[in-house]
Amino acid sequence: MSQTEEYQTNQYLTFTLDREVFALSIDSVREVLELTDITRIPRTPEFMRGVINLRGHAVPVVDLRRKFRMRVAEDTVNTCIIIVEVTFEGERTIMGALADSVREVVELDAGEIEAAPKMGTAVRTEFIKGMGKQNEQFIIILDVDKVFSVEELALIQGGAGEADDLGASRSAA
Amino acid sequence: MTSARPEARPESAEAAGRELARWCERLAAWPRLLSGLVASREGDFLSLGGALQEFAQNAATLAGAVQNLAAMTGDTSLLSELTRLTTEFCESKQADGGGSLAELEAIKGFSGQLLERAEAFKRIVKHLQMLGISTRIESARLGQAGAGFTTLADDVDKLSEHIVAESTRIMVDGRALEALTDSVARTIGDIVAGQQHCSALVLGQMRENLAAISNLSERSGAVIAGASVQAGGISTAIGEVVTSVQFHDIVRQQLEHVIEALADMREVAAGKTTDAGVEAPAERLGWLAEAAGLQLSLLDNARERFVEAVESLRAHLREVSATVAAMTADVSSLLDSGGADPLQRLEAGVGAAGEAMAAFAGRTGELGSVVGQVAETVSRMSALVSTIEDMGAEIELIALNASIKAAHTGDTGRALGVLAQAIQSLSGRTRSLTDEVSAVLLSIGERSERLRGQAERSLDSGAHAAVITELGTATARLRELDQAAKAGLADVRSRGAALARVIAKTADGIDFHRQVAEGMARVGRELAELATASGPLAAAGRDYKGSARLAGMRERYTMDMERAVHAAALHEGAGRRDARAGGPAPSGGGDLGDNVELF
Repeated sequence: MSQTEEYQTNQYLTFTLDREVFALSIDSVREVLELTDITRIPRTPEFMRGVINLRGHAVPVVDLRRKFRMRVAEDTVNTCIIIVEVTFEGERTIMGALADSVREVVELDAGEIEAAPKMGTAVRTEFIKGMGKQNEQFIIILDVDKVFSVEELALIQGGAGEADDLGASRSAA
Repeated sequence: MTSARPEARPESAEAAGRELARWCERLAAWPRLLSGLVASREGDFLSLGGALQEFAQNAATLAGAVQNLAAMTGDTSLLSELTRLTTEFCESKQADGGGSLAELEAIKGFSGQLLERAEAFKRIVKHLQMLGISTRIESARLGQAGAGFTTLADDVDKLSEHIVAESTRIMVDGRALEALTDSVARTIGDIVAGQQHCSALVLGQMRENLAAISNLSERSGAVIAGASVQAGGISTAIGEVVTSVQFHDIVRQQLEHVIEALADMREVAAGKTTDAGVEAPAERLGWLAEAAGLQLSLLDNARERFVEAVESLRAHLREVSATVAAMTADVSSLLDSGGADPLQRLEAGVGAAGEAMAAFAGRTGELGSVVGQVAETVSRMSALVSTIEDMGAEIELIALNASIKAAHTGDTGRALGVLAQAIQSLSGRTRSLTDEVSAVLLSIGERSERLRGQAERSLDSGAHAAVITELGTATARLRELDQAAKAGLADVRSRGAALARVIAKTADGIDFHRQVAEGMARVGRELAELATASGPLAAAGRDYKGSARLAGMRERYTMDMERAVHAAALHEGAGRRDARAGGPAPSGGGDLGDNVELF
């Protein structure tokens, strides 16, 4: 994955949460999965849905609706998991983000991207990298490294560790 | 007394005495003979009267029976009810099948569309497989940088298999649906053809038979109405005959008057009277001859009138008998014309319609199960819809991931980016195709529901069965009516035949009047003979017509006719024949013009 780091791209993966369109830089997105079985982990915050088994690795999944304190909704056939890479303490970690649906990979020129507004958005400003626009619709571009706070990531790290053990024991079995 | 006439010659006096003695003897005998004539036939008269009374009663009964028949056959409400039911049945039969066939056609059309879509899926699969291969080649060329694409190629392969499996299921189910709809269409076609055959044949026949029955009943109605009029006429005619039997009393009275006159004559013959101018034996003989002429006229008149009356009664009776026989023959013709045949055929028609209904119910049951299979297949196919939708989502995801991987690979992965775009456009086609398949399956579902409804409605043969039952009931009632009418006809026939026979026999058997007439004629001949014999011995040149005793006889008459004869005999001499000729119309003014003072 080291090659991707050097390659600066202006492509973004768009997805929806409660009728709002969000985007993540394609650099941080590994792939998109259909909703699969998520194993719940005890003593984790509500937005932590649990872990999934991704080709033998336990990957924690965060429910973005809960994370952004949006209205909670039932999962649908369109609900999917976006697998992202986040940097935590200089180390890259794989995580899943639960979205209502994914849309497409779009190209946005840097000039088209505006700074995040100070207020009036569904999510906290610090999570927002900028605002893009496509077909007269605003796209909230998220800063994946900031969406997950240090403390939370620490929590996850702990949980992920457990999940990793779980995955290891599973593969051992 | 004879010696009171001194001018008579002794031998003439002797002869006159002998003649008077003969008169005395005959005048004593005739009354016995005459009264015996009537008395001996009293029984015959009575039995004739009784027979006539009986005829009158029988004729009245017959007329009543015929009137009942007329009322029975005149009621056409049952026939019109049958006609109405037959029409209703025919019309209610036509509607079925058409609706179901239209639904089937639609379902068949949709399953054809489904098969087309399945073919389109095949093309997509082929495309996907090619893309999968291209992806593997390209990722191999890229080495480590294109490693992520191998999983993408795996996903594409898996999806291809999935699509092949699903589209195969769609193909199989679509074909099964086509076969099923063909089978349903054939069954419905059979049923519809059967119905039409049933309608055309059985019901056509029923209509024909109904028309035949209707015609027959009209004809019967006309004949019976005619017979009813005739029967009334017969009653009246017999009533007239009964009243005409009073001629018996008339002749008896006439004979009584003659007998009384004969007693008078005997007094004169025996010389027991002292009438002026009728004292000497010759005078008495002259008077007796005159009186004999008068009685002869009366006797002849009574005899002829009696014979005439009886003969006319016989003729009248024969006429009545002929009328009864003709009426009976008319009524009998109805019995012999085979009126049962169309009714029997009608009953057979209703029976056949019932059987056809039962067979039809069997076929519709069959149809119901086939339609059930259609519905089953359709619901199984509906389950495919969600699988197909999943497939659409899957292919989209694959396309998205291809885009992501291509972006990560940068310029070196441009070719992979093109492949990702191709996959994405395929996903768009798959999506629209699955949408179409979903829509088609939904339509099939709706149509099959409607088909089921149609089939259920056609299964519900209750209304038809009810009409059949009503037809059966009405036909049974018609049969009852027919039997009652036949019984009535047979009754009228036997009564009529018996009445005609007995009347004719009675008419033929009447002959007592000949004996009575013969007796009267004998007395008349003897009277004439004696009067002729007494002629030469009677005192000549006298006019006995003015005799008070003869005039006194007139007082006894109770009928104008007797008075007329009396007048004709005494005032016109040779008028005996005229009086007789005028006899049948004694009250005729013209004949009695100069006798008016006698009345």
